[in-house]
Amino acid sequence: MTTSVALGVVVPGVVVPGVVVGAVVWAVLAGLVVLWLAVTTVAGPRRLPGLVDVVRFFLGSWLGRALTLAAWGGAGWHLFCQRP
Amino acid sequence: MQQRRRSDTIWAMTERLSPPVGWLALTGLAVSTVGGVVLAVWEGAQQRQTAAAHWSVGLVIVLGLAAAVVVGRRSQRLRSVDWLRQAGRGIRSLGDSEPWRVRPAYIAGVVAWVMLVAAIAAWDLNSFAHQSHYLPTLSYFAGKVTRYRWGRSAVFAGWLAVGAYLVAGWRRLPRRGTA
Repeated sequence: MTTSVALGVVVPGVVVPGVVVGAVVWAVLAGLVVLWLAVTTVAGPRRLPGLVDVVRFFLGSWLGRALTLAAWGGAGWHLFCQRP
Repeated sequence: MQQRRRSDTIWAMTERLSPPVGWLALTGLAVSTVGGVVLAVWEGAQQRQTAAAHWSVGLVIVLGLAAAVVVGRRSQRLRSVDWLRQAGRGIRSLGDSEPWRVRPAYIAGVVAWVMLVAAIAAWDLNSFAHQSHYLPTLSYFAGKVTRYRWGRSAVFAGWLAVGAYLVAGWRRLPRRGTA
């Protein structure tokens, strides 16, 4: 049993030994992303907007493309030049 | 839908260009792919704090931005002003009842995307702000993979592929004979 502080509130932690509360939240978020990607893929772009539709929305103009490229460059620099 | 998917393939795209441009595009794609794989394998052997890593990643970012400008000349689908107006109309329409009545599932899907991305960003920021062992950030998990040579290579190759799509993808193609 551990505790952690998230959003300023003490969160009672974790049931699985060695798994911290933050990792559990990330697992839930990852599960939601996978589930949502599956739902949008099965439903098709006419019924629900999928990942490709979201990306294409941003690539529709110079401003949106510049924003996504800036995010891409920042992520690359952080991942390959700052993280272990 | 099927028609849209077919028209997005690289073959369909090159068919719409005049023959010399189509072959040039295919050759360029092949050379870039091989170059990207070689670069990713080399990058896997670098360490994050070295000058080689900094120069190579920095150069890829600068070249990507330059390529976006060159490739994207006169081939953007919307003007930025119109895109902003369209986005603003979309956000305002979320408060109206009419879009919810006409396309409830689609509008709910947009809201779901916004909430999902906001939740990920908020949790990452919260974890970063606390700097606690109990609250790992997204980049902590990425670091678990990129600390290994082939993990770093694979993630770098994926990053290059995403960048290539952001540079060249979803462009308004020139008509045959006007390329």
